[in-house]
Amino acid sequence: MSDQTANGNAAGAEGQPSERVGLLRVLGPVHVWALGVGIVLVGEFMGWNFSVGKGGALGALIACWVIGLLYTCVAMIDSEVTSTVAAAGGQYAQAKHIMGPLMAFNVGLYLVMAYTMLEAADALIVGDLLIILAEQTGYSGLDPKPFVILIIALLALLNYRGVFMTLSLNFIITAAAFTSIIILFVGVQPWQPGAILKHQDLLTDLPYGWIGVIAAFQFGIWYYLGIEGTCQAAEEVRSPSRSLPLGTMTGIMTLLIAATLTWYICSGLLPWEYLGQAIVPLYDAARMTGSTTLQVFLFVGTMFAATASANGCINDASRAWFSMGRDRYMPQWFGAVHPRYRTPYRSILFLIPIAASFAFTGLLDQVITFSILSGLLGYTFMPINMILFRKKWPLGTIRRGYVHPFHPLPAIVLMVLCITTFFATYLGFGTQLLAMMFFYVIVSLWFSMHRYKYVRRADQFTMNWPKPEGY
Amino acid sequence: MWILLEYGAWAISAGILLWMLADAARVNREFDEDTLLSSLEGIDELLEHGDVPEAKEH
Repeated sequence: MSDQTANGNAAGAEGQPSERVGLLRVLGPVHVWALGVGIVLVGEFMGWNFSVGKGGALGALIACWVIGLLYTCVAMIDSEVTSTVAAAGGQYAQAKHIMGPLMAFNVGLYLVMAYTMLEAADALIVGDLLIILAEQTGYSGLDPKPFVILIIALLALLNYRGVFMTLSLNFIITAAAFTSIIILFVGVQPWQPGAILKHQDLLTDLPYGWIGVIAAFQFGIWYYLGIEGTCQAAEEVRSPSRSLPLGTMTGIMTLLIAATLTWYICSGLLPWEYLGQAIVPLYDAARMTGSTTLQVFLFVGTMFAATASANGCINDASRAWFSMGRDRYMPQWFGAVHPRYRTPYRSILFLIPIAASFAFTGLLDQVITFSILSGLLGYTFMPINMILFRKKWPLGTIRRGYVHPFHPLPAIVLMVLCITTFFATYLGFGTQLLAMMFFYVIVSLWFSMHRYKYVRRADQFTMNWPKPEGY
Repeated sequence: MWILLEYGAWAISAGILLWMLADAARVNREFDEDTLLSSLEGIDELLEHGDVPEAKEH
């Protein structure tokens, strides 16, 4: 089995290893929650507020809930499919089994690009926070680069040495970051409207009308971007069919609560004109309360959230790259597992310089935009994947750990919201969107014309499923 | 103090990266490639053995 230990040179007859070295099945639902929410929660501390700049405070609330609906559909669809495809690579493995190799290749790249760029953005955020801290202690001109590379190196080391400790730490710091939002919520005394929170004075009509609300959608993604990363743990959880749906659904519930609380706190303390371009809105909201304790909590919470996100991103990007290597969609060399730590160590190492070079550009907004666009392309694949999945393997033909309700409504809603969000993104980042599309067309051509001949065409399908309907 | 921290961060980062590279090189040397590449895509043993009840559509 995949979780046996290798003891040295263990090659058996005909070049087949006598013992296999695989990823360890040691995770539970708590780790799945920590992976999903950990990647995302930094979006509550910064980024989401640019939606206020596009659509005003109320427009941002609409974006928060509409995009929340988009991600609820993502979580439901992902939970069902991944409860049957218990493989590292998440949506890549799903696409491979359900849609075919070209889609799988693209989805794998969406995942690696989205998570690696998000990791770079998180490291940049840690650097920016340290600059703020240095300035507050009287030192200006801090070079963030050594701290950016330090956080990437530390988290890569953690990931290199084992998934259990990596995601246990993620659980602790993610829970602490979420608690800081709750503490701030209690600290602004929501039971006394007008005492600290000034919604009546600060909330305005939609400043740019409904087109502003649509434009706000692209930044509403920040509240939830990455929850789908829970699927990457599929090969390392003890019971994927139970743990993945449980971790993913509790994760999206946590994020819906955190997103709404964040909006409520910030829109009651900061005018929309400021909030729409703030760098660290929750920390600014804590400063507005005048409480040093709340400021410290929120500073630490922001730091923890960025660290947890980078940590989860390293985990997810390396699993996606590893599984593509294992199937030879990428060089097979990347499909190696560390015999002692049971991690995809070559993939983890390979992605370090890539994340560091994105981070060293210092272009936070560009890096995060490309991450969002890759994520959005991945979400657009999901409804098609879901409809094909139910068509090829109707209920009852294979065992599912979770069946999402109201099919095909969530898939249709997800597709409509993705198209709307593409339009919103085109309004703000049309050039980047077209550049990204062009990139994926070029690499698709490379895969079809060159790389596909190396793919393990039969061996890659590992699920014990019956023939699909109609084949 | 911050300048010292900057140098310290560079040094620790370099140490960590060098350690990982050295460990990876050692593993590559001590284990043959077939073993390192032997992982199989996972299956859910509980689901395979039917220990988990199949979910029904709500």
